[in-house]
Amino acid sequence: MRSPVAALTWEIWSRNYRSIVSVVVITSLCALVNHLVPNKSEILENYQSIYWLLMIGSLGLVFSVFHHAEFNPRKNWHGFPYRLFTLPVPTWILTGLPMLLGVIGVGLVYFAWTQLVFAPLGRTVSSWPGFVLGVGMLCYQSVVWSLAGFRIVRIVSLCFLGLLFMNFGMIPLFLELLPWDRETVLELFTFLLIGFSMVAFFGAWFSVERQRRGGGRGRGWLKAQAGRIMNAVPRRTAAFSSASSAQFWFEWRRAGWLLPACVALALLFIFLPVSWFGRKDTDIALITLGWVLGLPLILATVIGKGFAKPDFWSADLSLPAFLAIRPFASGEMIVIKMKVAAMSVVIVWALVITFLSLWLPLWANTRELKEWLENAHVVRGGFKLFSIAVLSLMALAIVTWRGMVGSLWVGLSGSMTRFVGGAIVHAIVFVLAICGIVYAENHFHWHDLERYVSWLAWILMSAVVAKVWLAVFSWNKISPPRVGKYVMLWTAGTGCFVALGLLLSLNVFWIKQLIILAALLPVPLARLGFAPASLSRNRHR
Amino acid sequence: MKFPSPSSAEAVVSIAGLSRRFGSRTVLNELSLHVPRGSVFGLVGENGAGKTTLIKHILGLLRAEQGTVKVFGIDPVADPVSVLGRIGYLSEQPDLPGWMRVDEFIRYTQAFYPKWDVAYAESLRKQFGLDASARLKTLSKGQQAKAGLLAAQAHRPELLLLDEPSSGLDPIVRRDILEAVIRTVADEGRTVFFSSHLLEEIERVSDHVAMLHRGKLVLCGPLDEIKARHHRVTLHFETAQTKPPVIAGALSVSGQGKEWRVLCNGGRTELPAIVSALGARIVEEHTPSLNEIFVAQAETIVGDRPTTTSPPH
Amino acid sequence: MQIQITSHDGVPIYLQIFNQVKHLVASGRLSAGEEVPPIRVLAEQLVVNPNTVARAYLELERAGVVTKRHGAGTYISEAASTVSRREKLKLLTQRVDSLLVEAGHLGIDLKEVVELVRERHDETFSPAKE
Repeated sequence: MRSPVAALTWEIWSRNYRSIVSVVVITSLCALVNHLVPNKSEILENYQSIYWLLMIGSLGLVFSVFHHAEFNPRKNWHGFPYRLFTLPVPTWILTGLPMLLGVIGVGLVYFAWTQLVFAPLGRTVSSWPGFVLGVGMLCYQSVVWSLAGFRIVRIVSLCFLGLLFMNFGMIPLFLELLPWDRETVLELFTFLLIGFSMVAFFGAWFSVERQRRGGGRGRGWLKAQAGRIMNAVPRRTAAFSSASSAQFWFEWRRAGWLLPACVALALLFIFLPVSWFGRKDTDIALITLGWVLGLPLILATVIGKGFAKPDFWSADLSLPAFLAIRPFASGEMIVIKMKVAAMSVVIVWALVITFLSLWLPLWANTRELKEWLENAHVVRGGFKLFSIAVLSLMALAIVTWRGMVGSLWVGLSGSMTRFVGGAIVHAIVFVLAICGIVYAENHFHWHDLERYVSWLAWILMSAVVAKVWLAVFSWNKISPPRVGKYVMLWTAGTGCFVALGLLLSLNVFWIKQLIILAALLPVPLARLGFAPASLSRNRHR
Repeated sequence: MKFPSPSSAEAVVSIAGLSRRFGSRTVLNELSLHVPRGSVFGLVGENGAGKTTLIKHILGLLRAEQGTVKVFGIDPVADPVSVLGRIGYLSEQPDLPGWMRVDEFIRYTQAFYPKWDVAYAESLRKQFGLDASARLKTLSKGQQAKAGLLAAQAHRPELLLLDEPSSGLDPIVRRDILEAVIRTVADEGRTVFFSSHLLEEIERVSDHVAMLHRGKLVLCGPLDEIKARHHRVTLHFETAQTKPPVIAGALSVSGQGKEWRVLCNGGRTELPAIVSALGARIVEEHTPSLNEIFVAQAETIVGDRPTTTSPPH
Repeated sequence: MQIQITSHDGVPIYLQIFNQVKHLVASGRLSAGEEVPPIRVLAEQLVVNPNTVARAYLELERAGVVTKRHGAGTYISEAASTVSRREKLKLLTQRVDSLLVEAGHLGIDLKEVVELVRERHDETFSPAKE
């Protein structure tokens, strides 16, 4: 390794030789197949899409090779490899070399695909996208390095750049549609792209140079401002009245506020503008209403997966020693988690109700909604309708809460297998349910209705039996007063579902039984019972 | 002021026949240990000897697979609340929630310990120079250790458990930690159990020492007794020896030529006879430091290394 | 009271405290009737186990160097000054013993050692006397 450039190149090679070899292998295999197969037009017709996919895949690999960024634990970001800064090499070589290699790499791979794979098939591919890809590589690297401190901004700008360059790549296709001269337009865009690459190169040089000199202050400055705001916010300065209240504060500060914050942000930045711009349209009003009501449920199931872990922000599932050594019973910790979940659910629904009570009367187009409501009023009467509304809200809140606490028993167990397994099982059940619904819709016959109902009844019945059995099994390890409390909770929740089901159901002979059976299911029982045992297994390994 | 004699006092921690395996690796092997009330119990051992595993068993963070662990006569797994409430714990990496501010951290910890001494905590905070509104993650390693120490100490625990508290810290923080140990034990009836690589620290502050090696206890008892049992003698031979002399009961023999150093455990009365049978005489005799005993013990047990001869200088 | 503890040689810490207190008394840096620090204070100052300090004080008390006054701390005993002459000699005796052993190893006989002592004494103190 006589020169630094050779050493740096070797390093890129040795870190990524697997990807590089796979790109070469994929490309040459495709080229080989093309040469060996006799009837090429058939391939072109039938398997072209596979070739395109492989080409995109190998280009993606090339981008990953020249991504050239590492996690920097000191600054807590993923950016230009920090360790290279100590080498006696000027910054422009440090950044320029991977950029140059990246452009050459992406160009070579593109050229190989067009000339060795597609050309023998008789399909000519323009070389313009190759040029765009080269510039794209420069911009990609530049953005990855210079926005290292701004994770979200970086993702957004990479997406934006990707879309922009896709359009650049497709320019030859639009040329026929444009009124201007073909050559002039291409020349113009060539200059534009060269400008882009200059900006990318100098931008990367500048920002990496700054990072090398301990700069990259943007993030630090932002953080300082955020810190200043955080400092200005009044904080709790009173002592906690009990260990439970301290733990409640801990859990709330850790993960409890997240669900309300996400819902508030979504309402503010998605639903508010959408509802405003679509205020004339009655369909949009209905869709928005549906999404607003569904949003907390979806977010709660997603956030609940993290909330179930001992620490939301950590990938480690074991209970941190900091918590494990507190003289605090494992069962109490679960209770606190449930209370925090309940608190965030209450806040979330208060937010949703506030939004609805502002939006529906003030700027929503509620014509259809009003008609529907009037019909319902005629059919069921005012009191019933009001009860349905209240009960639905309660049911929604209960299901949101369930989403938050439902995974506690796997999340707190400290076992990654169980945690991931649980998530996979959920996903499979979800997919199966959708498949089942689609299947049922396609094969539904009214004359088989009774058979369906009896099947459904049997399924629900066995589910209820399994649930109760599991609950008995899991609850016998827990102290009677707590069992009493949870049973009351469950009874109240289930009662709410039953009442709602009965109010909603039409007066047909079999539906009531089904609804009662179904209403017994959504409020968790066994999984709450398993949670303390699961946590104590994690705590005392 | 009265300092209870450790040998007569009851045990704060008693461990009997404790074994623990992680996969196929035996980390603790048939370990039995008693920590007398009011003692400073030093646990020494190489990295990976099982010190942290032992301490985690005392905290109840690990379940005893075999054998029993009793702290204050209670199983820490069965009743973590009453055991942990009387323990203060500080580890090498005080796993503190970095997002908390120092004052929040103090108040949060306070809530769990009814005996928390607010004034004492505040005086410690000032003594350690911890800024109340600073976030824990912005503190230096030494300051984090001090914050951890504050939280472990301010409820005046009956048992202070320190797991390699001073490794990687500067002498000033190390001194703070040792002072905490002394203050704890000087309050009547309190006990300190701490593990360390720094044998000088252990020698200074502890009165009981246990030495772990590959999950087994090789030495355990009052420090004075251990030191009184071990002797370091220098032997002088009339002629240069090419091989180290073989001495029964010697833990380590090192040297070259005419002078050899021997460290032995007990057997002081028989030693002169053995030595003169070899044709040598004792020219020097010392009480070895804990460090020397530790190294000699570790080397004896390893056995498979040719540690008995030191390389020629 | 200035005491230095070292952990390098194997001398037990209580013995180090014991010897150094005696030394301080012998050299007059601690005078009779003076109070020595309480066990706890000295333990924190030296960063050693309080039991060790207690043991050193106990030994000192047995040797008659200090006396405990009930509920009022520990003091250098009045007898310490009379003891101190003997102690001084005792301290020197240890040094002389090791000197003699060393001389024996080097094969230098007593006459030469005494000669050397006198020579060193003259060289060290004669300019001061003049």
